[in-house]
Amino acid sequence: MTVWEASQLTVHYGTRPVIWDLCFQVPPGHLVGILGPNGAGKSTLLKASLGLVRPSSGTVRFWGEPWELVRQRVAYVPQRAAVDWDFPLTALQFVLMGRYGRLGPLRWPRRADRQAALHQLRLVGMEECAGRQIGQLSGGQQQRLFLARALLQGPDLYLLDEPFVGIDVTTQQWLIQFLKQLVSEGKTICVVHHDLTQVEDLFTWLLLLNMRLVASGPMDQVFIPELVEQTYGAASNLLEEVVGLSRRRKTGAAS
Amino acid sequence: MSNLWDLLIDPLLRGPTWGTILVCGALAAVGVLAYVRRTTQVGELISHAAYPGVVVGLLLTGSPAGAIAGAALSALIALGCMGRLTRRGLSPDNALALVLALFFGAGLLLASRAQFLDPRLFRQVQTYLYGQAPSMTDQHILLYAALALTVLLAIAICFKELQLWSFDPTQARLNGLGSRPLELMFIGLLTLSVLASLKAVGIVLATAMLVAPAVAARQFNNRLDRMLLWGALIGMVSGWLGLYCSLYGLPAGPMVALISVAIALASLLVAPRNGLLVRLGRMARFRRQCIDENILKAIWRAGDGMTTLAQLHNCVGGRLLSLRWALLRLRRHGWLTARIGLTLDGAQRAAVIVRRHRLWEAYLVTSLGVGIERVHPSAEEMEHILTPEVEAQLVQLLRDPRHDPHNQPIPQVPR
Repeated sequence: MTVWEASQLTVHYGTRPVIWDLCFQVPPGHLVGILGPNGAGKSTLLKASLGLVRPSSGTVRFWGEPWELVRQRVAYVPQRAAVDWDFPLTALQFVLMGRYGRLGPLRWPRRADRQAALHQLRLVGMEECAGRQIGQLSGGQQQRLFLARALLQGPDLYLLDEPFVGIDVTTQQWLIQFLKQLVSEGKTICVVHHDLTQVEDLFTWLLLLNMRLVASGPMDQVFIPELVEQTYGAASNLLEEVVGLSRRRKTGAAS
Repeated sequence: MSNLWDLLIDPLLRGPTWGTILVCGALAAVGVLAYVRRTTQVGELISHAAYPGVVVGLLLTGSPAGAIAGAALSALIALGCMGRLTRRGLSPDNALALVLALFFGAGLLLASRAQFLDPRLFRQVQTYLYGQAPSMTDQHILLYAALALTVLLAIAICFKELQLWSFDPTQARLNGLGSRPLELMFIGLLTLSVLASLKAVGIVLATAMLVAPAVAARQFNNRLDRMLLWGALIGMVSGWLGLYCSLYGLPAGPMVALISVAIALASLLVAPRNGLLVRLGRMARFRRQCIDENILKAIWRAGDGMTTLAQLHNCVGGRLLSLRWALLRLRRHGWLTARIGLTLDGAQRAAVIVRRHRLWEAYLVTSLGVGIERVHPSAEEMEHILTPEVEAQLVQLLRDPRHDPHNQPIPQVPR
């Protein structure tokens, strides 16, 4: 049984390749780290898996099914900069959006939904901020909000894009504990992460990514110097160049 | 003043009045959505691109209905052009400028030809540029009431979807909400209300009604639902007051726009969180705090040596009058005794300031390696800024130093 699998997944932005021929499987109950340097296609992998970016080829399955059939079981937490924090929205309303998918079209949130949202706010320790406008919260608090919104959706798989960026040390520690707690409850959590500190005590499964998949597997088998060197080293630049050239040739953008 | 209420019931005036109020309310509510989506410029495109359609419609049919149909057609064509240009990689603001200039320019050209062909028609065309509210009748009330109701219902029914789609389109897509129907609905409401408003405020100023109430409403509201209500309300009040001005010979359309802009500017001025007045007040309070703390510090430093006002003035500087005033204030609040001397509370507050001053100097020298002769000016500023939390961090970082770099003792303050 796999939670998340990709086969021969390739994504281009224009003629620039971002992901090339990915094949991997993620088993349930792991805290999965998706590691790679900047521009390695980590965020794109999440977006392509969720149908936000159209892949050039390949397929992605969750629990063996296409994404459209398991929408509610997968929660996506984007990078913090992805939304407009000046938007007139309170913290509670923000979290409540986690319920919108399940409520269905044209139905207003009910009191029970609001109570549930408040409960999630309490779980992430932000009850007293419920009525504050979201832009007045700190980076760490905004990250907690994102998590609360994902929690309210009640998913089995979490895809988090760089949740540790721009948050204070306290929130960082809290977030690690919280994610581990979720995993112990049987959830699967995949975290896009770009630096190599804390990797060993955080994750139990790794995907090493630099446009192609360098390795995937349990922490102790994958987090070894040769593979990390391959992921972060300069050797993969050549691949990107050649695959990009191939695409430009095929589309007539280069002679 | 009784005129203001009469406007609503007078058989001749109630048409223009209610028409303007309703259309402005609808426009302002849609404007709030456009504002939070940061796409108010699309409204501008719609209103300006409607002009050639108005001219052609009037030329062909000679009736207002024809004008509106023409307006709708040319506005939609312009929207299509803009969509195509942005998909071709042109940035939205550039695409907008091009399309707007093309359509509005064509409209002006057509209108100038019409001027020679049919002067009466030309006058009619002009009314759509600047609006002609007084010509509205009771039928317009029904028409615009239907419009306002449509806008209200559409927003109320789809509020959840509109909110999510405007704030976080990615999440909306993940929830299976197609952005296409919402986009079409939004553009539809926008087009409908802008076209309806041409009669009341006119092509040139319709954008003001779209933006100004939203700006005003945003200053007092942190939630989209309340912002929508307030925006609509401000729009309606602007419409009402603008029309009232027309009783005194002022043009209604421009007055409606001017009043809504005035309300927006006033809101920016007095907004509770970040308005200009609030900020000026905060600045004044901070300046006063600095003066007070400098006085307390000077007296504390001098010990018993400070007895006269002249001595203190020498030390602190500034104007003598403001110094006297500050002393009065400090006495009243219990920091100073009747003469120039510190109360127990005053002495403690002064010690805290001196402590922060010297801690900051120690931090700059030991942690940042700043030259010892250069740290004083920065400390003069930061002594008023440091909070107890930062102070605690400094103490921890510097391991609770007892002396500053100038070897002056750092006062210990009991907690």
